[in-house]
Amino acid sequence: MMNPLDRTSRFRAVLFWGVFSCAGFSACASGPEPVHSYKLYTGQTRPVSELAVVQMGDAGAAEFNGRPVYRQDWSDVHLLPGKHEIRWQTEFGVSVMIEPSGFATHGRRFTVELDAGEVYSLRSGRTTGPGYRVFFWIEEASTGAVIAGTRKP
Amino acid sequence: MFEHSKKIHQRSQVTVRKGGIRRIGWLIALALLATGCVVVPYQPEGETRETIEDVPRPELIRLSTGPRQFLEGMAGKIAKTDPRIQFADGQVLLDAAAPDGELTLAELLDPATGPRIASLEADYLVLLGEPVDEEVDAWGGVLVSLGFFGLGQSTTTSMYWAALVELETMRLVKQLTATATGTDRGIGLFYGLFIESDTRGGAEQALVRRVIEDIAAERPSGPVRAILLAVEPIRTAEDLAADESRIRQTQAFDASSIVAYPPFSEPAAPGPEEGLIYVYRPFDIMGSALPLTMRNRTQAGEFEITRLWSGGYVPFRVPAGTVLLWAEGDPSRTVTLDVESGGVYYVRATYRIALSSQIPSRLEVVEATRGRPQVIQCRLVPATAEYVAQTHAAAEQGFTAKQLELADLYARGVAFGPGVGLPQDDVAAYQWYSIVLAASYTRKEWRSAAGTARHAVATRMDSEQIARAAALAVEWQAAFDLQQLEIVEAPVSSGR
Repeated sequence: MMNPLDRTSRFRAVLFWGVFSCAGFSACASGPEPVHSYKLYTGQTRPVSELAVVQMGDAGAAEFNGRPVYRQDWSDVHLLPGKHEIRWQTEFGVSVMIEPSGFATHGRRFTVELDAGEVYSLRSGRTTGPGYRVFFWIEEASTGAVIAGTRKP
Repeated sequence: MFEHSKKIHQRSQVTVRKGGIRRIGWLIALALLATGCVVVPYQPEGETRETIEDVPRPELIRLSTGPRQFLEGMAGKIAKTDPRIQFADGQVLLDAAAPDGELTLAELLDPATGPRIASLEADYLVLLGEPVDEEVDAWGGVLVSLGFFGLGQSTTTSMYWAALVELETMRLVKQLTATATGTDRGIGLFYGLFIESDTRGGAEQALVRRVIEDIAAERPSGPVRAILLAVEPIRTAEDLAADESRIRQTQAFDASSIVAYPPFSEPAAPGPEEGLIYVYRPFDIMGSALPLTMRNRTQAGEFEITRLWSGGYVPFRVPAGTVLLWAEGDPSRTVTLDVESGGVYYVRATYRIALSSQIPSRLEVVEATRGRPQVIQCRLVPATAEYVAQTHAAAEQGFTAKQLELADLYARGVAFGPGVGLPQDDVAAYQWYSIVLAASYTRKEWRSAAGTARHAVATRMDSEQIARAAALAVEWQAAFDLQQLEIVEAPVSSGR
């Protein structure tokens, strides 16, 4: 017959390793986020080579030709090539002396010409230190070339 | 025997209850130690109401799959509650119904649309509006800063809109609203206890129940194939102008950041019969979000000097003689200076942590050997006259926080020199409070502060003054909106 003390020790050991394993797995188990593409053109679905793809990148909320898109819903947007108006906002963490909430939202609007088969990314950044500045730009995902706005220096 | 086992059973029940209470007690204690607060969530019961009014301007309501997570979540909840209902991809309906453009509610209900979507073989289209929350009542508040302090509650109503369209006949079967009202309560004395209502969850559950009931009433048996789409307002030029303002007002207003102010520069020496006083506040993270409003009294009168942020300084000249200095809200800590002609003085202000209702400040006159090196480390904050001018300019540009501040300045009036200042003006205060209240994007706390303050100002005004102030607010808003519409941005070149 098993000693009750042994049983308690074994239970504790199982509990410890169980919790430890759960913590370990939960910390490592996240894989790549699934891609959700928002079809923002009319008509039948076209191949990506005929479309301009805009990744949400740093944009929390955006508008493509007046259509709202949120990063929590969509990782990128499919558009027909051509001229598009894109607005987006990013929430930056800032000093509580600037915003009591500790967050400030900045937004910009660009009208850009997008090419078929190209992947673009909405980017933004802020400088730190005295009199911070915010930068918004759109870059080609493959080359990093800025097609609109100013890259954060 | 039976009685005995009953007693044992009762005793064990008591033990279990005691054990359960003890366990809950331990959990609360653990939560308090770990996070400093206990949050008790609850879900208020939601209710639904059928609306019979026509949807206003259906040509301005767009159907979309935009809020993907929201739609997937709702589809999952409906299908889980009633497995008869299965959902098809909404994008397929959009592509079929509007092959050349956006699908509006008006176009969907157009009889010409029916044949285009007949091949989809879907029975119902469920249209959903994203939830809207509205704070209906609030008082008190809990300050979260090195612990939780205070007492307060806030009542919120969440509302969902939904419509059911029978696709075979293209008939709008029903329009519904689901609402749930709940009250968040909080109390804190270092540790905090919060009761948090999930009004969205309550309204959502009621909506899901009602949609299922309505579908069941229409089709009591057999499988049901449905499509779920979201409704989005198509924004008008006025909406776009308002949004432009919102983007502008959410941009950080650098003038409230100490780092945006210029570093120390040597002011001109005091002239004859006057002295120079540096009022400064060495940078300290404690209380850095709160400015100390510095005031002084000389033979010429009582004036506001500056709003002294942590890490700021301001040099100001006073006629030789006795000068009293204090921080607004704390006149008991006044310092007195006998200013000599050509004299330079250093007054150091600090913020101290105290559990008192007064502004916790401390002022002291320090020697130049100690004061000057500290002043050199500080940044020059604007004197009140300059600050008022900046606030006015920012308010005119549409910064809501500054509009509220300007209204406050008008409500109390401010003097910053002999015969100069911003005189108290209730009409102007009422006007600016109204502008803050009229802005659809105003933060809740700003709206609440503006509403309370406008009410206080209105008690001092007659009806003619109120009407004039309201008209001025409308006039200002119209001119501002027009100015926003005129903003034309040149297209940005692709750089190719």
